[in-house]
Amino acid sequence: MKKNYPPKDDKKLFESFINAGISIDSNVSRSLEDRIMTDIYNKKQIKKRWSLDWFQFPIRQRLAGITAVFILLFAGVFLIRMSSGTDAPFPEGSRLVSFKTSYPGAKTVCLVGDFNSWKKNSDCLKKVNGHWVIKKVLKAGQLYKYAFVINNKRILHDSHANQYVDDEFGGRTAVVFVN
Amino acid sequence: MKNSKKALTLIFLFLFVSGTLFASRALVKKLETYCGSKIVLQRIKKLINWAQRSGFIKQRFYDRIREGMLRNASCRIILRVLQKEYQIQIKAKSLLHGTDCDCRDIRVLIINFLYLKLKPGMLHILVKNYRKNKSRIFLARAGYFLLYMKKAGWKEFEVLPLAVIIIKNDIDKGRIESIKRLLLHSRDIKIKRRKAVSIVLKGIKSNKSHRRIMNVLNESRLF
Repeated sequence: MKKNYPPKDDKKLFESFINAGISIDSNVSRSLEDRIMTDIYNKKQIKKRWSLDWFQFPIRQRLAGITAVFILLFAGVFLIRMSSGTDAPFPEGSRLVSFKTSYPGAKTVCLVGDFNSWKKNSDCLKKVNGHWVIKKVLKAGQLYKYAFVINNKRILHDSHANQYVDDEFGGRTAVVFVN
Repeated sequence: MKNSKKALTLIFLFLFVSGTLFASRALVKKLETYCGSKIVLQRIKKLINWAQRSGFIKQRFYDRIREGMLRNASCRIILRVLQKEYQIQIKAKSLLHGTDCDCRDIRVLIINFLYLKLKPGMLHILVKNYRKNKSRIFLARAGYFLLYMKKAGWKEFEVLPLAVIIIKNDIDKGRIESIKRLLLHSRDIKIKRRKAVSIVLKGIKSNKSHRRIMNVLNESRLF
């Protein structure tokens, strides 16, 4: 290519430029195309190989793999739940409040209040040593009205609360202050 | 990355809004089957619409409906409860009028205090001091302190200076408990309430220990 330069007049110069451009472009595009195509082909091959490999495994090994993944997932969830126990940190400006009551004959005891929009099955208590217990993370510096729903039917107030308020329905409701 | 975050936020926002809308619609439908009287039902619906237009906390109205249904209250009683909620929310809004942070939490707190029968005049003074401090926790502690002392037989205005200092000086939980004990002790040794409050107030202002304030209280006792 360099041998043709510099041409003697403008016309030749122009032609040489055009020719050079075409030749360079075609060369470059050809090599570039080749490289890209080989790249794509290789990637496809890699993908194919991986997927083929997975299905080429014997079913026992595949099942073992899936089980291992599930075990890891469960372990992760378990660890997260364990860490959200009493010592776990919770959002700033919140406190862990425990609600405890004892209704000996009750089959289920659920907590309803301003914190769960009075939805009766959202926070059910667990029976521990004869007492019904639940722990909830609540915003500090707030007052919450609450009550217990016994056996999904009767609604009763907490008899050990510090503060009560008229519930406006003819009874009274316990109030908890999250300090 | 940023776009995906934005998309996720939008999806969550959409799910939250649609979920809330769906829940409120489901509740209204439940109420339709629960209420026998259509007139009462219409009045409840109107009240909720007014509340929404006036910028009140709609969730509290739904909570009252759910609570009423849980307690098997008649629709007429539910309506009466909702009317009271409406009036209390008006009071709370007027109390917080002009406050920079008339946010939901503060409004809910004021509403709860009004339900617990703290006088609006007292709450007005607490809110006035909250405007300077802007800490909801101290406002809540001060309000709850007033409620506690009221239950112990004191009048709200008698212990108001102490409630104000709780907000102003960011008094912590332990110190508030100490104030309560000192006041109850002063009652036991029969010191005049006004005097006891001024002694405790002075002690808190000058950062005296619980024991030293107690000594001052004991010394001012009349024999």
